[in-house]
Amino acid sequence: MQQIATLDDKILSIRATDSTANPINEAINAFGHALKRAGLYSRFNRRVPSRKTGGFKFAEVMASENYGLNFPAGLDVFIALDPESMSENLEYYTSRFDNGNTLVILDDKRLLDPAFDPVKEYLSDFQLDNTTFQFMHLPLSKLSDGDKNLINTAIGYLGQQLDVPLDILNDVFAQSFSGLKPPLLKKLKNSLAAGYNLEQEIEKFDLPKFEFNDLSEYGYMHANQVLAEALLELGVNFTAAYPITPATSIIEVMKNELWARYGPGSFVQAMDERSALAIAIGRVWGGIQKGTERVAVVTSDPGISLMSENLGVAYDLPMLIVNVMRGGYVSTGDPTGVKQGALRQAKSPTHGDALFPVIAPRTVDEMYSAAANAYNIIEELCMPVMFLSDGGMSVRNETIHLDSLTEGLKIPEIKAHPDRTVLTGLSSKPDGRPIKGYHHEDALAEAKRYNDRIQKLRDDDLLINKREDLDFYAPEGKDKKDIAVLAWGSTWYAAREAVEILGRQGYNAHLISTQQVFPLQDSLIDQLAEYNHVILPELNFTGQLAEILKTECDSRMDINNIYSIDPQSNEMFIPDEIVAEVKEIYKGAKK
Amino acid sequence: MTSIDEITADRIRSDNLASIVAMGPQAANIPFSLKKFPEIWDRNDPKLKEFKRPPVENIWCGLGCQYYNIMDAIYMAALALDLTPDDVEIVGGIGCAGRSPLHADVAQTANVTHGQGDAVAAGVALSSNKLTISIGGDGDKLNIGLAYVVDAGARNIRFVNLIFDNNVFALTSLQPPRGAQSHEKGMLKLGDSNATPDPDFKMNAAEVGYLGKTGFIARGFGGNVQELAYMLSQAFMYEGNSLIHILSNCVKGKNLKDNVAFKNKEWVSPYHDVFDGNALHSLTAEPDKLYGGILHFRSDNPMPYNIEPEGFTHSEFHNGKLRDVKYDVHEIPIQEGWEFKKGVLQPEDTKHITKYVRSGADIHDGRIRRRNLKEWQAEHIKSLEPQTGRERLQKYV
Repeated sequence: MQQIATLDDKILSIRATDSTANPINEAINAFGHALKRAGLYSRFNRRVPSRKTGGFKFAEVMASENYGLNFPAGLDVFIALDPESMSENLEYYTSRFDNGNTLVILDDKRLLDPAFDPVKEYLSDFQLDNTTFQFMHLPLSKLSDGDKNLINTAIGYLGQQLDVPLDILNDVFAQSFSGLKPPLLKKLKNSLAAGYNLEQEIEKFDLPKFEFNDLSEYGYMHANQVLAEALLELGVNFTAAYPITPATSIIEVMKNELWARYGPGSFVQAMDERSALAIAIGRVWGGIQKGTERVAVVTSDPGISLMSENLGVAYDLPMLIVNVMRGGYVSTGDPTGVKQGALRQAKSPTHGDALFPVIAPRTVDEMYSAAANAYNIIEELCMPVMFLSDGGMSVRNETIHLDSLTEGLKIPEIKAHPDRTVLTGLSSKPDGRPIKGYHHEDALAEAKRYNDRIQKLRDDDLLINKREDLDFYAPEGKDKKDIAVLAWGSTWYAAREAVEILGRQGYNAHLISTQQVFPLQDSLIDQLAEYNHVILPELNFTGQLAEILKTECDSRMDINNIYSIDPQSNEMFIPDEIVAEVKEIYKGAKK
Repeated sequence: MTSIDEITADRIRSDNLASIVAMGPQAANIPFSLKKFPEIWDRNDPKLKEFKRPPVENIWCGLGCQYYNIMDAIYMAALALDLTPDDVEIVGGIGCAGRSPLHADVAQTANVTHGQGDAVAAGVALSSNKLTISIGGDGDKLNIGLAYVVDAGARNIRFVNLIFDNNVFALTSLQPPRGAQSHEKGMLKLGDSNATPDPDFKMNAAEVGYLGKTGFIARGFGGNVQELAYMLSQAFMYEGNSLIHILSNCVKGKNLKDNVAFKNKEWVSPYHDVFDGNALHSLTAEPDKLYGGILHFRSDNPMPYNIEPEGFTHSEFHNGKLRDVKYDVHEIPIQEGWEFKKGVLQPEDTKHITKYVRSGADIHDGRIRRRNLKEWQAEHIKSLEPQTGRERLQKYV
């Protein structure tokens, strides 16, 4: 595990926004990759807010000398390619973040005129004072080779300011934009070089001077890439899917590799999600006697809704169901939003008396161990496991220590079940004799067997790959068990930092987290029972893990001590939001 | 001039299916016109019992339900191809027909969700090279699962798709399927019964199959077991997705007997061009008639998914009897005057004949035995990336 940045580390955040045709997502992502290759921990995030149709979008990248978990609460550099998207973004940004000392880069010659007041021109709506924003004119359209390369010129300039070698920028951009035809790639490189060679000082703003690390053993990946590679590493030999945002990129990575390794029958782009799961069920069933199949089905929340009928058929079959949760609340949801809205659905997605185990990785680099653990449960209990990733992680590239992904990874073997000859969705025959599952099992015993499988997950620990560094964190000197912040999924990032902040402010807060979010292990509940306050920040308004905890804890915890923190935006939490809410709860002002 | 009709039943009997294939798929319907079937489809074969579950498993009505006949025909066809129960997998959906897997004691059976048996069967077929059969009723496959029947044909994953059509929802107390004529007992009959668009309208399964470019489309009747067994054996051999629409009388629902088309059912002529889609349309366009027999046949449908994964073993039954007779096909002399149509076989061009037989053999090799993954990789993939471990991740650095 890499050294996590503390609150004292300087983290630089750069954000670009645009409503024109500039490929800012790809360019800023490539810049993040270049920063990583130069030797900085970088992290990339993007968003296409659904509140506005058209091209408006933003992309952000952060860089630090240690592994930074969250985008900082201030904005350092803001590249605005057009005034409209700038005002849209600043409105959003200032509503959510503290106004730091921010450098705004834009192409406006009027800025050269001392009499011109950019704050009055651009920011009059937001009641901001001009001390927080430094405006800077860069002649982007003049320097850039073509209208679509404005962003690359700006990136070239920032690369120069941060001492990132131009060769690295060129290499990474050539790799990221490998689909471009050579003349267009040449234009791109010209634009990068023009920005890089621009001799212009930044006034009234200090970019941090970083020391570069040796990050040659590190990769720059997003959660979907890591998960796809993890599934391949674990020996998944078949997947069927119907494309759905934000899960599609998992399939994009896997399909060619599956195709090459196992032939074209190893990936089916199905007619719909129902069909995808049905084909996967057939594949698992066809190979179950010999133990030849390791199958994963990849989708998002609405896909699980479509699959819910067949998940009942799959209840006795070993397979992984991956749900990259999307945003939004009901119906189609918000494909590019971030939300933890599918936990309740995941534990009970189908009709009948069936509960599903749910594994939720908390960080991008936990995908390998989480997927391996999920397959261990799958093989041990011969049942499907729901695997919850989310849209927040799926579009965030980050710097990952590659050796740690595969080193010491325990991969469970595929079990054969030679006695499995009958699979049926019927619970009993007309004469009352049971036929579900195996031959001639008593129907009640069958139902009990199902329940026992879930109970086993409460009693025993089937997570064979441990991540203790994620499970528990207490700031130094804060040993008293007072506040437990229980985080699941990608909320871990913000909660981890929030606990650090709370520690500095004198609170005895600990971070507790679990990969297995349903059913909760008894040991976890025993651990939580020792705290006075258990606070769950969740990106949903119905407290889905809190609900599970209240049910599962039985009488071992006082459920009045369990609190939920609601989402504060349609994005991932930022640590300050959790800190503020925890304080409110602690003061007793909030239930 | 020798006509197809004059080819004796002896030849069919002695060389069985291979002779018929050698004559060209047009000749596939000869047995119907000759009304003589080889003895290899024996309903009294004691081995049939091996395919059957103990009677306690049965959930169909007793005497008179033709589904028993159909299952017998399936077992007879399997036995005729030297298959054992362990070579067969059956997937069923919901309803009377969907429960047919529960009657069969074969390698594996699955009874899955309504209408989605075809998708499950596709998955089963991808993971094993046993004979995969997907069975559903008209409710299952011509109502909720309509798109899945089309999709199965379009993907051309090799399994046998059987529609048991009794024209009634027997299990839920005799509601009419879509467009069927009105029923006395039908609970769900809504609106003005006089306004029923066409009492004899049925979703035509053959056309549904053709919509998905299914390569083998046939229709049989539950009362004609020998004929059905023959068609099933052809479908089992067919390397691709095959569809047989099987009309069956229901003991409880009497509607099918009253159906005008069903009363006028007859076998297609041996001169019916099974390669020609228009010929299929012309058969289905006759509302008062229902044609049985092999209605459509294509040998050139691409099968994009059927590459044999590494480590799989070939089931012997695919390579046994069938493959031997396949090579005998070379020896059959081309008789002057044989009428082949649409440029598939030209009687004057013996090279064509040889080519057809050879490509047929390739197809047999390619589709029944499937192609070897390593050969396929060598052909399609220039360089494979490292497969596991840290090395694979180097591209993300």
